[in-house]
Amino acid sequence: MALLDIEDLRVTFTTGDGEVNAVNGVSFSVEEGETLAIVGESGSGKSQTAFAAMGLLARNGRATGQIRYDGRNLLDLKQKELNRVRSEEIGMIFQDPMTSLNPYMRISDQMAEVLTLHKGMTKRDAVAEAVKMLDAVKIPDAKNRITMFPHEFSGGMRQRIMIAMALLCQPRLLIADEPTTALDVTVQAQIMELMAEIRQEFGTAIILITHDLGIVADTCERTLVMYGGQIMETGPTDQLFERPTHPYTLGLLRAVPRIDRDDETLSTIAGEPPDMSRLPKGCPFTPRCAWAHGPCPTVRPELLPAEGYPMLRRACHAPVEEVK
Amino acid sequence: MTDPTDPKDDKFTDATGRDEAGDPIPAAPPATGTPVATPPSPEPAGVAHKDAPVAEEAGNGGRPDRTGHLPQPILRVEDLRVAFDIRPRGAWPWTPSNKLHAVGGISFDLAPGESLGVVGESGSGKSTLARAIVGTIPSTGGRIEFEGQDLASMTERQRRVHRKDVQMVFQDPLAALNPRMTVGDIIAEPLVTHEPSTPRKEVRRRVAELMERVGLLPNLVNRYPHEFSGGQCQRIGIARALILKPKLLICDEPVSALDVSVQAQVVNLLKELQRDMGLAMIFIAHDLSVVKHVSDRIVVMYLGRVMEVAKSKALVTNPEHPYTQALIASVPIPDPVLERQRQRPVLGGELPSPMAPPSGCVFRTRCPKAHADCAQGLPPMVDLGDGHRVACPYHEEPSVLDAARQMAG
Repeated sequence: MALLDIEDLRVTFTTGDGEVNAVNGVSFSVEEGETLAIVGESGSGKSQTAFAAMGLLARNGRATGQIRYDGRNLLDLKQKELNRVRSEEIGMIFQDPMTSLNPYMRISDQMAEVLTLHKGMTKRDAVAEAVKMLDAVKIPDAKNRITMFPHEFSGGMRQRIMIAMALLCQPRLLIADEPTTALDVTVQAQIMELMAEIRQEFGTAIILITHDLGIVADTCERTLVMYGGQIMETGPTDQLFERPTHPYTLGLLRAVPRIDRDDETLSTIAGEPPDMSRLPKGCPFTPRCAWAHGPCPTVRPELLPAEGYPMLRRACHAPVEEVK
Repeated sequence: MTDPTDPKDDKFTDATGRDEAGDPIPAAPPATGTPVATPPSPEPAGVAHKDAPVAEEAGNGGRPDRTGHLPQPILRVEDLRVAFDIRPRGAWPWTPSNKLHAVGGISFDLAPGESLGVVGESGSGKSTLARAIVGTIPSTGGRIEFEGQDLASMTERQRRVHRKDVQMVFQDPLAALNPRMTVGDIIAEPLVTHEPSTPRKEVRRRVAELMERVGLLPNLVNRYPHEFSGGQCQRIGIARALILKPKLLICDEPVSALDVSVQAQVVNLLKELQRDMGLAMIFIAHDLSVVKHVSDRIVVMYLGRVMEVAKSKALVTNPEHPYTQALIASVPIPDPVLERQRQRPVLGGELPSPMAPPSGCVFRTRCPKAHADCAQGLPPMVDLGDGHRVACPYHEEPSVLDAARQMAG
């Protein structure tokens, strides 16, 4: 059985301008110890999928469908139960570490709180454990620096602290929402290396949510591409990058400027990202798609195995061999 | 303490044939030469020694032959320094404030129609550099010459013209646009401000023309910024920057807030406009792969100093400075197979505090090749020909990167 199994997840926000459908029927699963990347641009619903799984939706948001973790539907759990699951079983790290750390609390207090609250440890043991974890994420001189405040650390260090904190209860699943977007490239490389080490050492399954196809290539076994709140294509990272079968994946991969190539002009995806409150009935990518035809604007394509590429699943009406 | 300043300033004076009275008001020019050496005091002699050649190399050594075969540069930056006063916490009013050297001695020039990329991580001083060139931040040392004219000694009137000729595109497209003005008004504003006598009809015509040029439908002229997506807002920002037909366009991280698919559109647009309008452009970004696509030449900055300058292609294929090498190695490639083959040595450590930069070479604390004498004095700029200059005397030593590559291949 999969560790996390999401089925037909829908997330809707009620706003002054009507209903906004951020996630429209997304299904996927994560196995124990696996790394899955959810790739998409802003407004693709990638973060809301994770927030829904963690019960962290904004107040005007509503999630329906099934999010089964270890057999239980997280959407049905009571607040208290959910708190236990998301502290001990699922860890999460966010894009901006400064906004997720309490600026008024020393790192030692913030980290120890997790353990005293959930594991019933004494403060002293908890701090000792926290120091060990900070060592594991390679914060130099952790023993002395643990009494510092968040603002005394650099961006990269803060993100390390967030990772250490998320790992304190040794979760089986770690959800990382754009963990390196706010960081410089050289620091990003450090953090990604750290995440890979952690996975090896603790066997944690990781869901990496990002817009950066580059870091996905390096770190994730499986990739899921989202657009307009739906899954466009999914499969093993190697195959997906080698032969994208969905027009959006193809366009996205071509639009990335690459340091190892000399292209005169970048190929682009025409048009603008979709307006989530006015999505077309069919495939959300239709207005920007070069292969759009008859059924595209009205009939939503199902996520089916790609013909000739059994490892990949795609949601597209255009035949595989034409999309290239 | 004064030691390091003097030789440098002398050299500088020699090179330009003028004294550096250029910066009249901005506080205490003599003090600014020293500060890098101020925090770690024990090496004044070394600094004085090694510092001088840099100024020389940058000031006239590598330069005249460049300008010799190029047309008169449109912009010439010489040993530019920008420092900010930082008041220590709880300081008395009479306590001298600390200096933060955002830009510490940068020289380059820019030919008309050339596009120069500036790459660096946060805190490298790249945005400060842009602001100093535009003139919104006073420089504390060195010279900025725009079309042969020193920016600091400009009269109010000349400064107006300068502002017309140098325009800027900003990072956050929505924040850069006034939410209560229509798109048409936003784009027309520079024109109406600088050339108030332009007839209304002409203004409208030019706005429509530019909107079309940057890929916006001219009938959207009465809409407000919030009705547009990020990419479209950036197009509005570009149109606004171009309406005065500037000679130099400075783009400060123009695409880093945009999605990948839209980013490519804007990058292509900028490149196209630059070529068609013969604009000189300074393109600042942290993403080397984007900069490479747009620029003819690239300057790599770290902690307020230039590490390496080269033609884009040479820089990416043949980086000589250990920092450039590390930067390139850190850029992920969206190709799982290639990515796995790339053995990349991750650069350890983090950016040191700009309040107390390392002595000597600012990169030495993270440099895989650092030698003991890197702590002594600034590394000289080594000219490798064809405009490729690198601030590392040990650039010829095989890099860690090469070693990794050999192991991999």
